Parts: sequence; structure tokens; C-alpha cells
Amino acid sequence: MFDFTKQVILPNSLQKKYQVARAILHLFFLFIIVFIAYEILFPIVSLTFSLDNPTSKTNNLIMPVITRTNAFPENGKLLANDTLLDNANPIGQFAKADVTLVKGKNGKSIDNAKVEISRSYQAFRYPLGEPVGFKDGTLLTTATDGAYYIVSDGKLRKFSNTDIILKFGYPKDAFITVQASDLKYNQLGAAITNNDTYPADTLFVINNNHYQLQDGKLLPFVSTQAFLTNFDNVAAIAKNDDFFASYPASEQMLGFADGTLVSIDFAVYIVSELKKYPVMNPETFVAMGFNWDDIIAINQNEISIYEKQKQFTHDDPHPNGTIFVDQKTSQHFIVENETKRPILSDPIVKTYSKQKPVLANLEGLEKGTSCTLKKQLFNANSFTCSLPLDEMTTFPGNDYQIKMTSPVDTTLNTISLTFSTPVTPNNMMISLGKIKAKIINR
Amino acid sequence: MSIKKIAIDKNTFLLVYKLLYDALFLALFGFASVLVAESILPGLITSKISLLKIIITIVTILIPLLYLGKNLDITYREINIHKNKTLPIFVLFSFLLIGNSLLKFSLWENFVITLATLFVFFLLYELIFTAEAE
Repeated sequence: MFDFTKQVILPNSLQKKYQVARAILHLFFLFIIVFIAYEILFPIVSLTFSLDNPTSKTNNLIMPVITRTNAFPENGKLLANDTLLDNANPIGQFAKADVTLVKGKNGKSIDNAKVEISRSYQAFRYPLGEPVGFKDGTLLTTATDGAYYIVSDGKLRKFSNTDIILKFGYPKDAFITVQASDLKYNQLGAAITNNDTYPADTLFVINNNHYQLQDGKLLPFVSTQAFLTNFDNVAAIAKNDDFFASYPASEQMLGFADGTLVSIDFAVYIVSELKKYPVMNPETFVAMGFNWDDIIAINQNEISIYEKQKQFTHDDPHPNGTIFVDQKTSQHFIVENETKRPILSDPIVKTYSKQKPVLANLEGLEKGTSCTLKKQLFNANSFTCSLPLDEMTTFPGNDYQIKMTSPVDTTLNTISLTFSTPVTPNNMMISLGKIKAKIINR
Repeated sequence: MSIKKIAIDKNTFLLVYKLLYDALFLALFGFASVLVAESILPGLITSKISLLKIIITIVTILIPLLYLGKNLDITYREINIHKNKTLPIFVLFSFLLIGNSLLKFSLWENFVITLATLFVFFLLYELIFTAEAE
């Protein structure tokens, strides 16, 4: 081994000690390397929640709820047949999860209770909402009857004749040709019979600035690229400054489409409803299914219209406006007010997905694995079992939902979950394969 | 008696100094390896051990090393960077590291920016150390 300090000469009596100490130092360094390699190839994440101390800062599982009340079980009390739901969002790929439930001193045994696990995203678990229609401001025409429409205040308003369209100055190219069946997802509104006033949500471009008409005022988009995340460039009617005399500009700004990923300097944000959510770190970004290519670089002026929110971590659900696509059926969904609204027509999907949707799997919500709790050998209050996760590796998502139905009235003290990857050559090859795939997909 | 004690202490300090030097090399080698791994796949190592911890370790080794070096009057010949045999390795390492960080650029853009960056670093080095020598 090469010596960096040749000029520092030790007496013979210390030479041997130095060689031994140096060997120990190198072994210690080797141990650190092996430890880090082990952590990378066979990751372990331990998460717990104390039901008798729900506000404890050491709780790193999401607060559990019982399905009967959709609320936290006070003091960990469960009635017979109550189903306890808990969500864990570890980052990484795991082969198994060990679940341990500790009952209270006076609680009854939960031996042989079944525990189920499924994998998806938290927001993708939201209940199904009403199908979503075309977004406000969209111009539509049907190929079959040649009718023209605008989506205004959520309603589909038909232009009585083409003269009105010409007088308003709507560009012909702006009308998206759809099937009559695509229109059923928007409620029908009053027909537009004259050209006195523009319908709400009409889009304008004045001096290269884009506006949307709302409540008689022109709301400016913060930038052209913000406008383009919502609509196509042709959708706006070109006007000049005189137009402000009829429709004054509003001070309220419009931003990027909800759910858009933006970056400024080295920070990445998800923007939604004029709020910006700073993504905690690259691991969170990847774990939440986002695509690096979807990030739009923006400037200080563009970000300034957004109100800063707390950091977006892997424990948070995707915000409103996030679009999911089921990897099996290609069915799209949009997150809105804690519901998952399906987008049932391709032309509607096109108007929403200006950026790639997050890949999810409907099957993953239902299909999972299960195990039966058994009393631990030396702890009569602890019940544990192992849930294999191999079958769920194909389901995208960072959210593991644990479901346990209590066979008796009981109280629980603690829920613990340990996600791990057993040390086997096969798991090592799987981990290496994943690392290789990530490098290739960079 | 007391002279003997001082002599033993000094040798012990020399031993500690040599070990700290080895530890510094290992820590710097580890830091460089982490940088390479992170540039290939961001988050691969830093999700397990943060760069800050490695930097704190390096500083923690450096402080007693500098203190001992000063008190034990250990000096080194000034290294002439132009004649240093490890220079090509460092240049190649820097070239790969900078080039890798610009992967989204086209090959030629990447090549030109990397060379320009290295050239600027070289000029800065010359500027700082030539001024010091004068």
C-alpha cells in the first residue's frame, strides 16, 4: 500500500502498531462501503404509529382511520369487525413488509386477524367523482351536424349561427372537432343568439398577452407559456388596446394549468389553484411518478403569482389538477377536491393533458396480498405477520395501504411496518437491474 | 524522565498524524466516489448518506491534522502541478464529471462547455497560485 507520509518516520516500535491501526482503518472504510451498498441493494424502512400518542413526533406512518367513522380511533379503540386503514409511503422498492400490531394491556387478542396490503398513490385512492367535461374556454364543433360550441362557466353553449362566430372573431382553427357523444360530459347552457357580449371564458390575445374573460373582466395569463399549458395558441381572438375600453383588465392573474410542474433555479414546484408546492427532493419527485421532462422552467415573475405552501413530501397526496392514467386501460383521471374524476373521451383528455399524466394502476387498488396475524413468541401483546410485496412491483405508486379487520372489540397501542428486501442473490440482481434501468432512463 | 515522556508523546502524535492522513485520503476518495455515483444516478448514495455528513467528516479529520502538522513542524515540498503525475487523472476525472452533468446538451455543446469550464478552472488556478508564488 502506498504511503502518503513517507517523510514522517516512526520509530520501529510504532511501525507495527501503525500498520495494524492502518489495516483497521481500511477495514472500517470497507465496512462503511459494504453497509452503504447493503442499504442500496437491500433497503429497509421502518415506520410506526402510536395510537395512544397520535401527536408524537416519532410517528412516521400516516394517521390510521377506521372505515366505519372515517376517523382516527380514539385511544386505539376498535369494535368487532371494524376495519382499520393505514397508509405508508416509503421510498424504494421492497420485497416484503412485516406488520406488527401491539394491543393495549386490556385489549383482546387479535390473533388470526387478517391484514391486507395494496399499492397505489394516495390521490388515486380517492373515490370516483363525476366524469369531467371540456374545460372552460374550449371551442368545439361536431363533424356530424356542423354545430359550434363554447364551454362557458362549465356549460356547453351553442352558437345559433356562424355569423355570430364571424362577428365575434373566433378563429376557425380554434374549434376542435369532436363527436356529438363527447359533448355529453358538459351540461348544456343557453344558446348564444347575438353578438352583444362575449360569452364568459372566451380567450383573447392583446399585444402578445393572453387573457380570459371572467365576470366581464379580462384576466391576464402570467405568460404565454402559462397560457399554452391550458390552451392551444389558436384558441385566442386577437384584439388591440381599444378592447380594454369594453372589457377592462383585471388585476387577478391566471397561471399554469393545475398540476403543472415548474422549476426556478434549482427548486421544483407543483402549481395548482394559484398555490405552489415545493417538491422536497428528487427522490420524492420520482416516487410520486413525475417525469423530469415535464418540468417547465419559469421566471421570477411567473412564480410570484403563486402562494407558497409547505413542502410536498412523499406522504402528501397529489394536488388538484394532477392527471393519472391507468396503465392497463389508458383511462385518464383528474384529481379534484379529493375525488378522482374520470376523463371518458379522448378529445377531452387532449385538452387536459398538456403534460404527461402520472402512471397508475386501477388493479393495484384492489389486488394485493394478505397475511394472518400471529402472537409473537415472547410478547403476548404483539401480533405480527409478513406481507409479500413481489406481486405488487408492477403496480406504480408509493402508497401502501394496510387494511386490518378486527375480529373482536379491542384496543391497539402501536402499528409498526418494516419494509425490507431479503438478502438473496435474486433480490440483489433485481436491485441492480432497477439501478441499471434508472441510469438508462436518465 | 520527563524528556522520555515527551519523546513518546511526539511519536504517538506522529502515529496519529499518519493515521489521520490515511483517513483523509480514504474520506476524499469516498467523497469523489460518491460524486461520481451521484452524477451517474442522482440520489443513489445521498438517499442513504448525505453529502453534508461526508463533508463534516472530512473537516473533522482536517482540523486535528492541520493542528498536529503545525505543532509537529511537518512540511511538504511544494507540488508543481505541471509535473504532477496524477494531473492527467484529475483532468480526466473533472472532464467526465462536468461532461456527465451536461448530458442533456448535444454532444458538441457538451464537449465545448466542458472544455471551456476546464480552461477557466486552469486559468483561475494559474492566476491564484502564480500570484502567491510572486
